[in-house]
Amino acid sequence: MQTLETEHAVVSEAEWTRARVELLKKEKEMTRLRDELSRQRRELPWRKVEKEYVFDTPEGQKTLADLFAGRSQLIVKHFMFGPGWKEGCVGVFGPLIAPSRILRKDLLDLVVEPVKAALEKERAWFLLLESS
Amino acid sequence: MATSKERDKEHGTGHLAMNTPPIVSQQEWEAAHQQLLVKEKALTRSRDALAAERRRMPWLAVDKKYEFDGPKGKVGLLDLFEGRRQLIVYRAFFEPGVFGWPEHACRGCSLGADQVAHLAHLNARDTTLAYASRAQQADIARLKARMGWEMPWYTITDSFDTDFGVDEYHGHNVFFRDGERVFRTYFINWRGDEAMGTTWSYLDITPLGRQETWEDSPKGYPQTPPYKWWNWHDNYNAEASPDPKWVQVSDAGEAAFRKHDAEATGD
Repeated sequence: MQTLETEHAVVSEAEWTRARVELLKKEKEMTRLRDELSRQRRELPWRKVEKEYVFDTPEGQKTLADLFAGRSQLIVKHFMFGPGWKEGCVGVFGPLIAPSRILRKDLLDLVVEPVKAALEKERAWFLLLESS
Repeated sequence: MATSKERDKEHGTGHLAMNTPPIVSQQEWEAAHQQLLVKEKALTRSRDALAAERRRMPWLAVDKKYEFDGPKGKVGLLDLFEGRRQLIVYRAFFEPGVFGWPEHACRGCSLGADQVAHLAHLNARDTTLAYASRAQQADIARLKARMGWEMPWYTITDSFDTDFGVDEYHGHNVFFRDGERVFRTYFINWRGDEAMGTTWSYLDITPLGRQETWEDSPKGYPQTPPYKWWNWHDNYNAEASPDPKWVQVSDAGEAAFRKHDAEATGD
């Protein structure tokens, strides 16, 4: 078992609690900031999606409206998995395509060739590029 | 599955009886999104800075011996680490007197248990997550099977809950192990608990953090490049060192991500 090269400060219970209470102020501040940002997200303007999108699902073809499954809110995560992929992407491409945003062509140029080739076979990928 | 139209019929017109934000053009939407993105990024940076401060918190030596009941009998706090250096113990309320007993654990704790990420990733960063309650092992085993939960879950038998601030309310205690010495490094409860569940949220409350090179950590802390250690949850044991192809792919991905980041268009 490897030991840390740095000697970490080990303190008394009173001192530990004091340090924790001090940092707790910042923890709470972070929670409030997160709530405030969520409030601002709720105030963002909306854009009407007028184009019809069709997805293949286990129950056949469905539209974007169908994906709501009757609820009023929908989150779509683009999971990088398509023809040529043995398994889903470990995670690196996920963050490039946040929900409701569009992947740009210049990003595709940075993807290594073998992956790019596999991606180019993916219809959904092209759909995203096309929309941009 | 009901279609949108069928469901709308059940709920009346399907139109919202509330004031919604303005509907704008694509350009205006993008502009508003970009504006808020600046704040999103600021929050992400603040979160990273807070995690860096947590890593500099002093430690408290745990000298008292604690005994838990586990699926294989009596175990000590040291055993809960399962050989790893970092341990997070979540105190879940599942015992007589708690609403839902004996079929269910506390609703809030159950919601939390439902959002626990696959533990293989946390384990790969030398970190163990364990749940602890007052219920007996037979009840815990039944609950785990019923709810499809797979985290290690122990029975508290002594003053562990009182000593670590979780006798009346749920909370996450973080411990570090140096050989046989155990330290309490951090404690998160109340709304701090709600953010837990992802691999990243757990690692961000640990003394070593995500152990990635970009992090602001004290000198000498273990760090490896981001992306490289990531693996499929069923492949960590089979492939201990990163696959060369994955290194290539993740390098390209990271370059794209950095470029994206520099242009302030990603979060």
